[in-house]
Amino acid sequence: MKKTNLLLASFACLLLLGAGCAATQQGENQEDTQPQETGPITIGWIGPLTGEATIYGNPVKNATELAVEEINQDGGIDGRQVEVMYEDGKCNGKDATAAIQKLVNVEKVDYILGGVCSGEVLAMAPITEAAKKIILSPTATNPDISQAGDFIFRNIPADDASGAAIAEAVYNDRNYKLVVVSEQTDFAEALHRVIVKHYTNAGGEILLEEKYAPGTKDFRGIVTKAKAAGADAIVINPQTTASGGPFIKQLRELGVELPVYTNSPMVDASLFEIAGEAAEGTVAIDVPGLSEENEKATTFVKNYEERFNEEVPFSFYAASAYDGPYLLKEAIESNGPSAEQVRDYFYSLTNYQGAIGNYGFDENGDLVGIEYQMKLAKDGEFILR
Amino acid sequence: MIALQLLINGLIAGSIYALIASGFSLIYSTNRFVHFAHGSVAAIGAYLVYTCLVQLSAPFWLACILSIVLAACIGGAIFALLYKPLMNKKSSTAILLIAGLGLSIILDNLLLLIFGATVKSINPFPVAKGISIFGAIITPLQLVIVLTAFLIFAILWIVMNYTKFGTITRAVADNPELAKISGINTTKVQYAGFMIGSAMAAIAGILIGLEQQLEPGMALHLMISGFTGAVIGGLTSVPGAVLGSYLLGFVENISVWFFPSGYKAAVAFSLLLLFLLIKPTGILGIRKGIRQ
Repeated sequence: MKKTNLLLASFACLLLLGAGCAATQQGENQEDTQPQETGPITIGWIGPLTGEATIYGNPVKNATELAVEEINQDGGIDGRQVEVMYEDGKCNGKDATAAIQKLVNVEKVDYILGGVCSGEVLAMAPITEAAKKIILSPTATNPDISQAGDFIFRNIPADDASGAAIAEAVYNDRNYKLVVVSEQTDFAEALHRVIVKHYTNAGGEILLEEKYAPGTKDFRGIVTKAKAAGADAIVINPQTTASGGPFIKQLRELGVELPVYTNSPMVDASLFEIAGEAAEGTVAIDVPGLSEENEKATTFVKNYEERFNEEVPFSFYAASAYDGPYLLKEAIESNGPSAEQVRDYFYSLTNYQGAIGNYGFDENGDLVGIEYQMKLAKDGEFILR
Repeated sequence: MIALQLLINGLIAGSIYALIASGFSLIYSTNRFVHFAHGSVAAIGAYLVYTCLVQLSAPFWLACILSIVLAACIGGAIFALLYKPLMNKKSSTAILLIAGLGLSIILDNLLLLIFGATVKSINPFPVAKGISIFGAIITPLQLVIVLTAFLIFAILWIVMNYTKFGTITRAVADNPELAKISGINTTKVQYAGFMIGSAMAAIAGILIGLEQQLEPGMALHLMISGFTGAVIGGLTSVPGAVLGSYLLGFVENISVWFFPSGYKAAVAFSLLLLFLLIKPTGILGIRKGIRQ
């Protein structure tokens, strides 16, 4: 009996393997990668669905889902329904690569929304460029993405701007002697380089640069070092509040009362849940809030809250993701469905009126028209400084 | 002052590792295989407190007791339903290790499914500057963690050296076959090891959950640091595992002073490799047992 089971299991394994090979073969033989003119339009989505970065991965996914549902209710894109395949990129290049291989080679999606993290987009870029697939990322800010390919776009301002803004804010506040602490991720490390470059170019002094591995929870060593270095301000540059929150908490616990500057992913209620009062006074360079005079933004917030029964977390990131399917719809309906047609339409955009505001794309596919803002943590929330 | 702060930082980290390592080592010494899902049981303990405290609004002490008791039951159940049947089939320790690894992945994913991937916080205390001891700072919660680790260490030391259960456990740890021939009910000792070890994992999970945050991936980090500490100290010796964890905590935290903190894990594993090369049985491990 046991032997029969084993044989059956082996047979099933072989069958599955064979099916996989066949699918790949079929994929390789298919020359035509143009979207089909009939049937549903398939879009791939990649972003963190597990791990610390789900804190913004989830709202970004929800917002995409919402936009697609709305588009489908309104008759789809050019009369075709839209289907989205969601894959977990886990906020890292390795998992995003596996996910994009599946989406491009097996599922044959026409366009990609995401990745959410910069590491995901940078890893996906060579594959999507070779296959001529459009990437539209709502949240990846790494400056290297500008040069990653011709078909890659993002509707969020890049970190050249936010890093410069952080450096400028610290320098203008008091030309502090600075300690910069960053998480070892594609996003945070690139931002780290921009901050250090701009701060030293402006004439500021950086006493200590520290980087820590993702998943780190114990920052007492770094804080002790920063304290001993004689710094008079600290920049904490994490991937999420899961490490940035404990850092600020341990900083205050160890009696360090220096001013703290931070990046955009820290602007979230979870920072106050983790660090409590220790987070008060933190200065963050963040994307702007959604304008209440922007009808698209208010509609988005209303529909999101109705659909998901929660306030929109990371509202700018989510709104940016909400714009994604609508941008695709406009491009396909105005200029045609091929990757080249969508790409050319995006490059020609100068004043798209989306939920995050009015914007266009420059020659690198980077967003133009929206600037970072300086915010201050006060009474359990971030306000404009 | 900086040196003292670094030592205290090491003491806090070491205590956290020791809490995991002691239960892990107790299970290893009574059962003779690596229970890889130990970190997951600690994570379950922490999530149980979160559920009772935040979702059911139970008082803190009740949440802790419930969590510890339930974790002990889960530990017993894991042994009865997974390891015992495998042991009855005379599976090798490698198979038991892989089974434990598989179980830990399943448990972590269950936590992910039930509680979601976002980071949870159960810290009911406000963040404030810690207590200053000769210029070095430690928070009251960290002090509780250190004292609990010491207390467990002391209790285990007494139980292991001066009680019948301790003598039996050490006999099983030293030579399970001989212990069995001498009339010791090794199955009973194995169950006791799993249940007490898992209860200790829950205590560790609760304290770590209070100090840090809860996330489904926490189990792996706990397991790696606890396992490293236990191997350095000697897998078959519970006091050894505690000592090894403190050594690991100190070395990691002092290394941060000399190297960029990104190398912390590299330093920890270099220490592990060094011990494996020079003293494979760890600080207090029993050589005879490991070779068999």
